[in-house]
Amino acid sequence: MIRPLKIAKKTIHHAILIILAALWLIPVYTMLIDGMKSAGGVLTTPILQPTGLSFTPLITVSSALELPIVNSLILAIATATISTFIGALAAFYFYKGRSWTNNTVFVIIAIATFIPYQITLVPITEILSTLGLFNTYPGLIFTFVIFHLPGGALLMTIFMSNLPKSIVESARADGASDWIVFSKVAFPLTLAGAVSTFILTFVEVWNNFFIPLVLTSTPNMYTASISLLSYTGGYGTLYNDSFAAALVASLIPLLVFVLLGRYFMRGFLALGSGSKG
Amino acid sequence: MVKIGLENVTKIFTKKKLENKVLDDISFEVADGNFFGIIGQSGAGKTTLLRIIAGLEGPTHGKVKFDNTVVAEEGKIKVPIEERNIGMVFQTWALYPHLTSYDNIAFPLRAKKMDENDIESTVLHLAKMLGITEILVRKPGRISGGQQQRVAVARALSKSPSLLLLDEPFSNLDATIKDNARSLIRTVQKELSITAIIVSHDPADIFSLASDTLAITDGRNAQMGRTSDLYHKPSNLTVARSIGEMSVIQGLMTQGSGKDVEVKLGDRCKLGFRRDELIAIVPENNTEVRVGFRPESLEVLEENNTALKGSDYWVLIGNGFVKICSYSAGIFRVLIRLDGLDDDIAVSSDVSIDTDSRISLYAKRDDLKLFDSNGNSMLNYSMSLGKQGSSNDERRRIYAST
Repeated sequence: MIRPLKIAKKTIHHAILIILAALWLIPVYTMLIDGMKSAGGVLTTPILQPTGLSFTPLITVSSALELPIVNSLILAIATATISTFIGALAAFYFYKGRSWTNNTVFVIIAIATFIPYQITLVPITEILSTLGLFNTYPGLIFTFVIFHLPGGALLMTIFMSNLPKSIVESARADGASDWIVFSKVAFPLTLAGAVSTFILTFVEVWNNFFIPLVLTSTPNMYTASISLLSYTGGYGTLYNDSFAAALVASLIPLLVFVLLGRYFMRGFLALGSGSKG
Repeated sequence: MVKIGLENVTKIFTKKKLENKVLDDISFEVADGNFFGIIGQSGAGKTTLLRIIAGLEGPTHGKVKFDNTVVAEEGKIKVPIEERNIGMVFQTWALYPHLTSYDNIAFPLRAKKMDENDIESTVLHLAKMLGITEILVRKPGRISGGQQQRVAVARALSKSPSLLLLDEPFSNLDATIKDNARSLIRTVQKELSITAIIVSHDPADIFSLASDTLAITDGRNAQMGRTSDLYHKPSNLTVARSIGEMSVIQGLMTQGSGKDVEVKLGDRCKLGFRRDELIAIVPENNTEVRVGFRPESLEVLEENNTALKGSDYWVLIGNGFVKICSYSAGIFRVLIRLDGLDDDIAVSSDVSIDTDSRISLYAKRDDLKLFDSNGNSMLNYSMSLGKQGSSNDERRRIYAST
C-alpha cells in the first residue's frame, strides 16, 4: 500500500521540478538558439525552433562587446571588491561590540540597503558633474559602491556573527592589534562569506542597467548591459545579434559562479550549520 | 613574573535596565610565580572574574593591578588585553582553525613582529617540551583533543607571558589524559616560574595545580586560603561541596549537660561538642543543623559488626543499606541510605559491597563538619582541626549513644 503512494509522490515532485527547470531554461534556450540564427532566419522561423548553426552573430557581437565587457568587468570587480572589503571591516566593527551607537549605525545600514537607488540618482549626477567624475570609472565605481556597500556590510555582518567570540578574544590575548585580528583571523575565517558577498555584488553591478545609463554619455564608457540596447534602434532591431549579445554578456557572471560557486555554497551553508570556515 | 591584585572588584551586567551583579566585592592577591585557583559552581562568576583579570571585561567597581600598575579601574580598562602580556587557554581552546599548529603557536610571536628564525626556535622548543612536534604541520581539525589542548597551551606560552590564565582547560579532555595534561601544565608553570590562575569547577584541577584557592558563590568571596584548608576547614556548605564531595545529614542541636552541646542525628546517634569548639553563640534548643561527611572519613561495616564500637576515633552514625556501589580509580564509591533518613550518603570504600546489604555506618569523629541551617560552618577550626585537632586534649568529644 505504501509503495505506490511513495512512487506517486516522487513522480509529482519530479514533475514539479522539471516544469520549474523548463521555465527557467526556456529563455536561456531561446537566447542560445536565436543567437545562432541568421538575420533573416530569426525573423522567419518560430522563436523556439532551431535552424542551423551560425556563429556569425556571436563573432560579430563579441568584437563589438569587447570594450563594454571590459568596462563592466572593471566596474563590477572594483565595486564588489571595495564593497566586500569595507563591508567586512564594518562587520568586524559591529562584531567587536554592540553598543547604542553601533546598533543605530547598523539600523541605518539595514535601511540604506533597501532604499531604491533611482531616488538618489539625480543628486548623485549633480555631485559627479561638479567633481568632474561624470562618465568616468571612478564616478561610476563611487556610485555603485554607495549603493552596494550597505548590502555588503549587512551580508558580512550576518556571516561574521557566526565567528566564535573566543577565537577573536584569544587573538587579542595573543597580543594582536585590531588590524591583525581582522586580517589574520576574522577575515580568513569568513572568507567563504566574503566570496558570497563578492559574487552577489558582482552580478548585481554587472546586470545593473539604470546607473550606467544615467551616468555615462560616450560609447567608450558603455557597460555590457547598456550595449545590449544598441541592437535595438529606431529603425529596426537586429534580433539575432541581440540574442547573441545577451548570451555573450551573461557568460561572465556564469563563469564567476562556476569558478567561485563552491565558496558561495559554503558561505551560506556555514550560516545554516553554524560551522566555521 | 607578575603579582596580580584585585581590590573590591564588582561586576554588574545591565540588560534592559535589569542589573545583574555577577561579582560582588572580590579582593585577592596572587603572588609572583604562584599558581592560584578559582573554584565555584557554574554561574558563580568565576569565568567573569578571569575575563576581568585578562582584560576582556572591565570591573564595574574596584581595581585590577598587575604589580603596581592599575590595569583596570571603575569600569575603565586602562591597559587593554593585548598589552597585558598574558597567555590564555580557553575552555574551547579557541585555536585558529585555518592555521596549522605551527602557525597557531607562532601567532603571538608574529603579532609581536619577532624575527622568523627566533619564532621557529621558540615554537620548536615548546613543541618538544609539550610533545607535539609531529603534528605541527597539521591544522587543529586534524589532531586529537589532547593535542589541540597542548597546542593551545603552547600558543599561550610562546610569547613568554608574565601571566597564564586557564579557563576550565581540561573539561573537554578524556578522563584518562586529564592527569597527564595537568602534570604538563604544572611542570611548564614551574619551569617558566610564571604566575598562573586557573578557573575550574572540578576540584581535581584545583587540587592538582593551585596552592591557594578562592571559592566563589553567587559572585562573592566565599572563602580564600590554602587549597587544603578549603577542603578541611570549609567556611560554608557550598564551599565544602564545590571543593569535594560531601554528604549531609540533618540534625537537631540541643543543650547537652554542662558546657556541651548535643547534635541528634536520626534516633540512634548523638554527637557531643564542647562550646569552645563552636564559633559565636550556640543557638537555642532544637535548632536545625547539618552535619557534613567527606566520603573518606566514613567507614562501612556489616550490620552488628562491633569492630569499631567503643573506638575513640569512630562514631556510629546509624544502620542502613547499600543503595549502589560503583567503582572509580581504585576506590569503590558506596551510596548508603540510613534507616529513617531521606538523604543518600556517599562513602569511599576499599572493597566492593553488595547492593542492598545491611550495614552500619561509622564516621571519623574529627573529620565531621557542622553547619547551621543557612549552611555556614559552626566549627571553630582553630580549636579543632584535622590532624592537629587529633591530639588528646583538643580532640572533639563525640560519643555515640545507642
